[in-house]
Amino acid sequence: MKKIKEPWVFIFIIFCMALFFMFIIFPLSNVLRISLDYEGTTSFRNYYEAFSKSYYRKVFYNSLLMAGISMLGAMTVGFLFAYLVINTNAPGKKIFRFIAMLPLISPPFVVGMAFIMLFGRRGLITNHLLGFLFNIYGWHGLFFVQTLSFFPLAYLFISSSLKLFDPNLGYAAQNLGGNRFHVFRTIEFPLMMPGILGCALLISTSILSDFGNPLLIGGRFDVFATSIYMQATVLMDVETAGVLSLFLLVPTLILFLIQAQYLSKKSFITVTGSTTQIQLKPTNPWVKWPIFISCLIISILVVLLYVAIIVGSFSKVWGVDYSFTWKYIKEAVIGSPGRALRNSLTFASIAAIINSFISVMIAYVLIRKKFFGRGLMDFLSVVLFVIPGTIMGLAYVTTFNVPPLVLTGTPIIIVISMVFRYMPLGIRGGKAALSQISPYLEEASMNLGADSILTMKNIVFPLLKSPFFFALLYTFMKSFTTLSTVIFLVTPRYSVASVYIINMVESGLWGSAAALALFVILICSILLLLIHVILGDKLQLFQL
Amino acid sequence: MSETHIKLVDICKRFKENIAVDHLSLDVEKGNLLTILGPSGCGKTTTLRILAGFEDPDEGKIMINDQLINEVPPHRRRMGMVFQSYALFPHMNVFNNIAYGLILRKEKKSRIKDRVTEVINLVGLEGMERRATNQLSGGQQQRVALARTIAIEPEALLMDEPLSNLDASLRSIIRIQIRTLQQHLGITTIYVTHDQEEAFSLSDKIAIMKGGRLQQVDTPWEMYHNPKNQFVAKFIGVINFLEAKIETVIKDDIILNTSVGRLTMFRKKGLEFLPGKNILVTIKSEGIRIKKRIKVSSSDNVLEGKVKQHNYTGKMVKYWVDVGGGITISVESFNPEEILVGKVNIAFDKFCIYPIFNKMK
Repeated sequence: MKKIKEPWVFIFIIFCMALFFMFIIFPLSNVLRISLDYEGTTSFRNYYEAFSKSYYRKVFYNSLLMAGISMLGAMTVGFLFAYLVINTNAPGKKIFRFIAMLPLISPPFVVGMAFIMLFGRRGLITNHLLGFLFNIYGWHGLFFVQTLSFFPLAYLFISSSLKLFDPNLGYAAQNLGGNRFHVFRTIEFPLMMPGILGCALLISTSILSDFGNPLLIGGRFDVFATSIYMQATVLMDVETAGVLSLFLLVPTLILFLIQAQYLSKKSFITVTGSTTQIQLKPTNPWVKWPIFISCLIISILVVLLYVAIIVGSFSKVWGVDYSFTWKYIKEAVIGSPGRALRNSLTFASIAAIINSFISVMIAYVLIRKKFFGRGLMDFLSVVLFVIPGTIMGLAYVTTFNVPPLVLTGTPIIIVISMVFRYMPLGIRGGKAALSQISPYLEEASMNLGADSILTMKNIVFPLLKSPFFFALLYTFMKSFTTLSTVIFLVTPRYSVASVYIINMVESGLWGSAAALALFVILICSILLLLIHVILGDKLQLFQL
Repeated sequence: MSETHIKLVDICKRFKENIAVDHLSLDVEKGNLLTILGPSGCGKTTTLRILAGFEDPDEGKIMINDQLINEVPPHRRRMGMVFQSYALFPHMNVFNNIAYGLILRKEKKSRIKDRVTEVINLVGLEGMERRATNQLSGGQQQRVALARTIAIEPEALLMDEPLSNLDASLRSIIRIQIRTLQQHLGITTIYVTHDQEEAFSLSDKIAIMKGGRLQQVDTPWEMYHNPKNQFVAKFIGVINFLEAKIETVIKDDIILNTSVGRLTMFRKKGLEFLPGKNILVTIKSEGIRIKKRIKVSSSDNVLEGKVKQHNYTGKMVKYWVDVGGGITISVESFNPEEILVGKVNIAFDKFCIYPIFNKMK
């Protein structure tokens, strides 16, 4: 790393620092300020009052409980699938692998919505096939939905751990005299545990900050994300919303920091890096078949979720009249849901283009340059990803509806929220790619007569093409389906698809919601395919 | 007499607490190949990077043709660098890698094509123009890196351990090719390596560095026969060291008193030997004969000893002979008829002993 001499790098860094201050530090500190504001004076009264109400204590416990049990559910299901696919010779492994990744094509709230379509009050299965009334709204329904929504993440992580684990390590330990159980206890378990724990924490933080599913399925089971939204928008009590935001932020940050600072450094999984597959010993059938059957049941459920959305898009009135209609599909193209869809596409495109340029450039300066504030910039760019979207939404809506910068009600703030929310994805991809590229290439270019700008143009940018496209497509997909932040920022005129779907589900307009969700799923699938084509098998990037 | 082309004056470079280059002054003559030789961390690569402009010296002057170039940015220095890892651009084929510097100079297309073809022929890579760099062997990649650098007709060539990623047999072939090409082009070259054999076979002059400090600059011959201190001697492969006291000087013979007895050393010209002075001498292990019994002749130094260990490599046997007084002498016996064990005699004439003068202290 070299001290900066090029003026353009200097200007870019100042520009980014200003952006980070304006759109991260300033809005977040504003939330803190609001939470401390008690009738015009600064005090901890709001905190005290919130603590003293049993409702908020319950919200706190509910949130942690849900993050904990759903994480366990997701990890268990993820492990079952990973074990079945990687370590057994069960039939249909390819299908199971596909099913385990399928929920990635849709945002979590689509899983929740389809779940209601199947098991809700007028659910296809509960009401029509089984003919009984079953209340899914509450912690149990939410637990099922979050398990189904987040098990693909666990599957991706655990399966790559199992795949990368060098079986020779186990054989070496056996060769040195350890019995099978001893080897598992002293070699495999300690090597895989830090990584798996890290994954568990990541899933917990995702569930903790998820907004859509608690809103749809939670019923009276309130968690932080929904409670903040209700306080701020329905009850207009931003002070309490601010207090709750900090309650949510603190456990999220703690979980994240444990994961980032401690566990990721203790993960040894890729040390040997060997992917040679040694012929597996056949699994005990008493282990294999129960796992197979569990995975089969879950797979059928996952497939049913998507079938429900497809069928729902073409049914006249879900739950009442299942006769065929094009009405909702037409509406999703040319009607007002169509306008929300087009808004989503436009905003997400603009956000993704801005995002990919800025994030790859930030990755470049973070890896290659030395400057004052680099540590802070690096930290912010990582931590930004785990700040729950609800908090950012609250922060933006409270900060930018008053001077100096009034942006609420405009599409600009929606795009800005998308840019900053998913910037860490692009930065991370860029950093990973850059650390693979030798800095000597840039020196060689300069040595042959190119100044720093020409070196950027001729060497650095062409080599960063694939992280750039990854950032472009992935941040597009994420921005396209984001809900928790934009729900604070949209207006009837500038609504987006995700918010529109939620609103229609809440009004029971299943056909319109399903048709719009179907388009969202189709677009996401195409994007995922594109990413897969461009990046090959580097799908582990989804773990972030 | 050739003139000084590149001149470093009193260069210092610190990285936080570490001093990488410590008051280094060095002259390189036009058309010469100078090797900077030293163990890892001695500052040799930093020196090269200072010349290329990738590092700024904290103190000192860098001159080319008597012009100060400290402030010239790397891309205008025309100090062609060949990197240890080659640093070939992975997204360009061989042709585009070599043409890169020429395109930047906005040369005409036809001129670029001619020049690239010319250097490709020079390094013997005909027909490889369209290959991707990852389809080349290590040796071929090395030659692309070299061709890319000489294509821009640099002021001087800087080579940073260019052969370290190649296997041993290829190394000795390519280093001859590099030397031939360098002499053919008459290009001033600074070559960094930690391999003394490479340094000896390539260089007009060798500069040995240790801990950022220059130890000695000399021709390979002088370096081997007149190392200025024990570090230099050890680094260029001298093993046997003996402390001695000068007893008397008889014409060209110097009689030394050592812990293994009295030895005769030939007087070197230009050096002063005063009786009574303590000096350090070395005995070249390749000049020592070893036998079960050796008849004593007047010009020989003969010692008795016991073989402690031997190492047979086919071409030779290397012995470690305990000659008493806590001293072990290493002997390289080429063309051996047998492998000796137990008690032996070793003999070496007075030309095999050299004094080492520790001028650095």
